[in-house]
Amino acid sequence: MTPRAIVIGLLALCCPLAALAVTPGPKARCEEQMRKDLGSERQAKHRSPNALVEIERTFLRCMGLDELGAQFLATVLVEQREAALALSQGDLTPGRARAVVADRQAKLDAFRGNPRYRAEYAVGDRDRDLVPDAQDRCPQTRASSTTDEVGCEYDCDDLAHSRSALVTAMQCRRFVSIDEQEEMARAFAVPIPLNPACAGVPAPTSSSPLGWTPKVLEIQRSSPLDTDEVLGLKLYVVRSSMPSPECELFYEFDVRMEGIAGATTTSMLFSAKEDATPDNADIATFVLRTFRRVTHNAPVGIPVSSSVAVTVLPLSPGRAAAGKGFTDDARITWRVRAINGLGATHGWSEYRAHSAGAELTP
Amino acid sequence: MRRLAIPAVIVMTLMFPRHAHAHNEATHRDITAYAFEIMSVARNDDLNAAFAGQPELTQFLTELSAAATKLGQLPPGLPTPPRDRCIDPDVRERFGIDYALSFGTTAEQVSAPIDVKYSTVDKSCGVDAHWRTGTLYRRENPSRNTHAGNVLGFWAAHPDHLEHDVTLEWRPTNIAGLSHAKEVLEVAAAAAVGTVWVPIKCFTKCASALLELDFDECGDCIEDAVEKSKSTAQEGVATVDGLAPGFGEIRNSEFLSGMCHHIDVKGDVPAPGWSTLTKPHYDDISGMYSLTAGPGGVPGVTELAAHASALIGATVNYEESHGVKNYEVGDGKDFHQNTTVRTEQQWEYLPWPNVPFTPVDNLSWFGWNQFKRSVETVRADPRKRIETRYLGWALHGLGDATVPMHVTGTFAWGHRPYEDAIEQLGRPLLGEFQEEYSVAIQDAVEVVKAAYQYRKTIVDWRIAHPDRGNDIPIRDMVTTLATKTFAAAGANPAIYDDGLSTAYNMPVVLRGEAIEAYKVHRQFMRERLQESVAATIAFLLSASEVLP
Repeated sequence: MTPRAIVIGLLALCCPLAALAVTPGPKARCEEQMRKDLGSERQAKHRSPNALVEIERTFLRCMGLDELGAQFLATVLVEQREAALALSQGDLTPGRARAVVADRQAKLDAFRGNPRYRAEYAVGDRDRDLVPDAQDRCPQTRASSTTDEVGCEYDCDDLAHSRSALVTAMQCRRFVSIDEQEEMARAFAVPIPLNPACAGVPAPTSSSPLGWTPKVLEIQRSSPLDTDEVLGLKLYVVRSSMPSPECELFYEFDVRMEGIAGATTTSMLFSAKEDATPDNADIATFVLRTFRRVTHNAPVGIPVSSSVAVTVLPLSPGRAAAGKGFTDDARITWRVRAINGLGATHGWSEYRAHSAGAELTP
Repeated sequence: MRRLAIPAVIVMTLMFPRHAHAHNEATHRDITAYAFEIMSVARNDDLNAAFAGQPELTQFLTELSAAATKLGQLPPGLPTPPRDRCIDPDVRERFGIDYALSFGTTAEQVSAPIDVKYSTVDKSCGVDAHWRTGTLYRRENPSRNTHAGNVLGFWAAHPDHLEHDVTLEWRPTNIAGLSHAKEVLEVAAAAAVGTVWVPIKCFTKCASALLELDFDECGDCIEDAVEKSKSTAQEGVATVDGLAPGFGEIRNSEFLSGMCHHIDVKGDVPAPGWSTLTKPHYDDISGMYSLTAGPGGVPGVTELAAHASALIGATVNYEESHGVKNYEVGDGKDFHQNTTVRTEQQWEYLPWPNVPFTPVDNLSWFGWNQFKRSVETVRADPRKRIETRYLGWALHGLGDATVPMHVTGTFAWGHRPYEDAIEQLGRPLLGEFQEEYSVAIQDAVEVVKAAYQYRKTIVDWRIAHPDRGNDIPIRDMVTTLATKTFAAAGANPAIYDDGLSTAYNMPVVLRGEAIEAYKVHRQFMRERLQESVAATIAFLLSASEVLP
């Protein structure tokens, strides 16, 4: 018996209320037990995820959770942390780790919020993917994988070979791992905001590129001594329809730019609300700010001009990259598609090639 | 591969955003102060002339003026100064005061502009010596001055200092996760004792820095450990248990006070292959929910930090967190969907990144209801004082809901540079302080028009719910503002730029550029801020109607 227990025992004999005051609460007791369990577990040479689930489950039971809830939650907690750990070790990409966490959380939400799910889980989950057997159309799911709501595996990095028939590329946009350049672009680009108002709205009509022109877009300050200009591009495309005002329309561009410095590719996204010629029935015009040029006209001598690439302007980097590539001598090969907030589209236009051209008359 | 873990943990730590509150404090103050200024000058001839032939709007101006007078009589309720005496000779000479800020019995009587950090930092005796009333007020009152709007603005900024709103702790439910981390370190230690010593020893401090946003101790620890390791042979694994972090509370950081300042109006983002079978949050709209934060549900630069928090096991300490209890609106009686109130266990079971926090409209509701309650208390016992400070919660929400990042529940996507850019652009961005009087009037006209629409909404709501008397549907207002912000951001998607959050977190090299880059969006910012000023005016007018 520990000295603490002896003190508590003596106090309990003479003064029950005082004993109550120093008796550890249920939380403290459960914590203490868990520490002991973990201490024992650490002594083992090989860590077992199942052992950790068991420790978690014991703790949650101690805290008052029912058996089934404790088992489910313990599994989720351990598996989510396994994913975070694998990420920290470089064994999982951020997208994959996020997919695992989102998967386990979706299952936990279903378990907690859907009595049928809970009841069916109680009956059985043989492959331990946290989808009840009664709903599981794909038994024998591999450990650590992600599944849809009927228990079929998917991998956003390899959707074509996934067993799930429910997961779409659009849903995977948040999780896809791609090569470094694309990953950067994607991380920096703004995904199309999901818009439930687009449900049932027909896909917007097709668009295609018409041309582009570089120009001074605005003069922010002009005096005899200084001028401060913003330079950029105007991009012209065939206007797409917007079938519903609540369902916002976007124009997505794939661009290949060939200039003196070689060829680069990028993609960029514009909202139809950015259209600079909204009254034109045929042509949509998008403005891309690329450089800020400050010129100092010294009283004596030649003017001194400095240009700052506005790559740090809050354009998506895809746009910034386009700004660098659309030089006067560049040959641009590009395509465009109109797409709405639920990913509905009639697809990409054909690729077109354009050099810098005259401004189209709206 | 395993040895990557240590730098990864540290990188995770350092990647975390340094602040998390929406709008900088000065912006919150200035939104309210400008709203109050417009109310104060509502009898201005030019303003009234702009609404000639629109009796409902000229009547509205009359009401605004009366409301400003009434609000000016509120007790300022400023906190006790941090010192007994003001020792700044400049302040004493210029304002002729000696910590007189709290001497006035009404907000109108406060004799100097309050510094937003008055209650937390002993700076210039709590006076913001650079703050002036705006163009309109000075034109209208050349020989008078008022700081009543500044006092209300001080309280509007105050919720960013609510250190006890959310307290986190290393919870035993996460010990297993911590055990994993320790094990990684142990393995690495066995392989490379000398190199692993530093992060093990400093793990606690650096992990705390993740949430405290104060990396000094972490850095000092590493430096110190490097020095010691040069002369001391370490035994790696044997030392791990003695050095791994213990468990305790984490509180008193801006990050924690900002957790209840979001509302994610973009809606639910289910996992791939999952329909929204169940609602993953507990309110009509979720507050901050890291799993699906950010535009399109991509958390951005904070993602690794969220994983790190889950890994090291930081969860809400329900008992010590006032905010999570105060902002659950179980029965708001405002015809806005109520919160499903969670148990202590539900708050504590999961690491905080997996917990949906309450939305910022609930924070506003809490303050507004506390304010009303204090007014009722004074009606019953005139010796009591109205708690003016509680107006600040409501006003704060009306400001936060105009930040695009906060209406998608993210600390990333350009959050900090966006807010810093607003602060640097200053009060002219709001519409206040225009050099030309005519421009200032025109700005005020536009704001009044928008304010009138908000006011009409409140009046219509009161007509529809006569039993609610002079109550204000503050949750509806904040949610509406947030929805408008999200829609406006959708039309300007470049407003979300996670690359600039990354740049901002490189303080020396790119922070300034990241802030500058956002200034190109000044028109967007201006529109959002003016929307906030308009809603604030409508709210203050309506709030004044509950006063005796």
